[in-house]
Amino acid sequence: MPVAEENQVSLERLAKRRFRLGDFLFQNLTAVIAVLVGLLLLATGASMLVGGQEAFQKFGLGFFVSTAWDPVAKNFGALVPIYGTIVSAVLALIIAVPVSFCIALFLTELAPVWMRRPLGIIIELLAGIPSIIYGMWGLFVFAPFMAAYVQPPINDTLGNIPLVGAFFSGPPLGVGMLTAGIILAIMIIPFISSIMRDVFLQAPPVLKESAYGLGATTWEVMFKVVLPYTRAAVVGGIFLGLGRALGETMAVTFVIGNAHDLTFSLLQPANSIAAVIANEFTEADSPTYLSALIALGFVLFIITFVVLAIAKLLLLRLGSLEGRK
Amino acid sequence: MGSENMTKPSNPAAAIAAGTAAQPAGQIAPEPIPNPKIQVKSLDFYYGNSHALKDINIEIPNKEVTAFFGPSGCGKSTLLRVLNRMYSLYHTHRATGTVLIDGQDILRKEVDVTRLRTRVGMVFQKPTPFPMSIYDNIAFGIRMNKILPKSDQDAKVEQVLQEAALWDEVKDRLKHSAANLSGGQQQRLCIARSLVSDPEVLLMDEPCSALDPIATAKVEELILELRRSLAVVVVTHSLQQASRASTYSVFMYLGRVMEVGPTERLFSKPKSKLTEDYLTGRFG
Repeated sequence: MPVAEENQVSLERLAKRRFRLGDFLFQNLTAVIAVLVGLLLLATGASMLVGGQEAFQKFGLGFFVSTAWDPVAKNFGALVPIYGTIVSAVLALIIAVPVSFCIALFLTELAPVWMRRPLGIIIELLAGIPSIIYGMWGLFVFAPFMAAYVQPPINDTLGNIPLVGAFFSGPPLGVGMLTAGIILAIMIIPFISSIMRDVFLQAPPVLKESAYGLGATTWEVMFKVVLPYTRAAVVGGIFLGLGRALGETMAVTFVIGNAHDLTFSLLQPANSIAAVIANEFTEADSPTYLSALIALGFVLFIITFVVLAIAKLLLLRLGSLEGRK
Repeated sequence: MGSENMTKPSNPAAAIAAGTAAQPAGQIAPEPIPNPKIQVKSLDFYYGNSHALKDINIEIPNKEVTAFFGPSGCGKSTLLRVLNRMYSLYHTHRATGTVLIDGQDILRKEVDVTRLRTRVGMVFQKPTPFPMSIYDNIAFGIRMNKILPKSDQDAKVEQVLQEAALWDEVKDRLKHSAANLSGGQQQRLCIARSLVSDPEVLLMDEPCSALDPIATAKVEELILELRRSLAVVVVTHSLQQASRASTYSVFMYLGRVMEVGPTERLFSKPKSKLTEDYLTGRFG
């Protein structure tokens, strides 16, 4: 029926013309907005690089290995805050990963069904608590508790072991690397455990059933089958938590002690990049000082960017695994 | 008592409804068999509120291949999943009645399901190799039961792979990932894996539905071979497979067992009109 076909074609043409302008505008508007965000990211990095240029030029690569931090002599090095940032974040991971695994395991396999959803929501809500509150709680409640009940016994026991003792010695001040690590762990547990839970739920039921079918216990199914199956995504989730721990400012500033000394004792005050910047921006009275702080910011930017990129890649891998099946 | 009661042979569901509650139309009471391995008595099964199995009474012979067949949704997979308590993993699934394996009721609460599942192995529709090497897939099952010295463990791995007719194909790449095997090889790997605990019963849920014809033939051959040492229960939607690879058959329809008997007899001279209609392709 050629007539009907012709009508059909002209109708389509009409529809096309009507929507062409709107489509064109809308498509470009969304593209501009999306690209803008990408450009912002680049601009942020670039402006920090420019702002930190003076420090980078003045101190060269020595900036990364120097422990100096002397505003009067205008001599700055990044090693202490970099060390503090990484160690406090790694401490947080060491504590948070096993705890999160247990939470995820409980929420997916062991908890009574009525409890799973409310408990899961409560744990996710923990992630929404502003970090200033963790910081205040850490400083006024948790740090004195650490000083009175946790650090003295650690001093007396672990502190006396040769070599290892160096990590656990020093006066019980309450604030310090360990306290910061524990607070950070509490802050990232909701992230890691909810990602682990979602990932575990994605494991095919038939895979779990076939392990159960061999007489495996829940622990064996989770630890030996589900965890290996989902490991890329689990590591991705851990890196996401690490990214957050690295950049966390307020809570850490309150409890890490803000001392520019390189100390290996986890009980001693230390510093992190974010805490240094937050504390000292208002005091930066010379261009070199300011430039050193911005250079620190650039270093943090790069570290978190790399960690988050790795996390994204690993999380994507589970998706492609599923797709291949 | 089947065909006489049928008012509308073209609508089997209505025909069943036309029967009495105790004995739906078209249902043939099973004859007792000597030394049954599994006895199912007045079994009802529920997915939440949906009543999936209704008053199942069957006996499953030892050292035979028993096929459950019937149209989709008739409850054959459900019945299979009762036999190793797989349904217990899901809180909404519920079974009532008795299932005796060697005279012991496996539906009771205090039964150790982990132990039960080493006695009653299971193979699934899709091959489910674990994300590890071929060797470790088998060793995983061994370690569930007992810790063996390395040499004994190696011997056991070889033995079950031989039994599953897979050894010659994989003996040179035991350390490679099981994910690289073909579908048929993966399925035979899963069968081998379920044999490590020397189970007394092997449950297979449509084990060939994801396989090509050649792989299917190999697995069917293997199934018939396995009946020398254990009771095999196979769920299938393929009539050809039921007739080729089983020695005893159970026809299910709408959550009920309609007819039970030796495969040859059931396929050549079905007693129930419903079975006959299904076998000749009049419905389903």
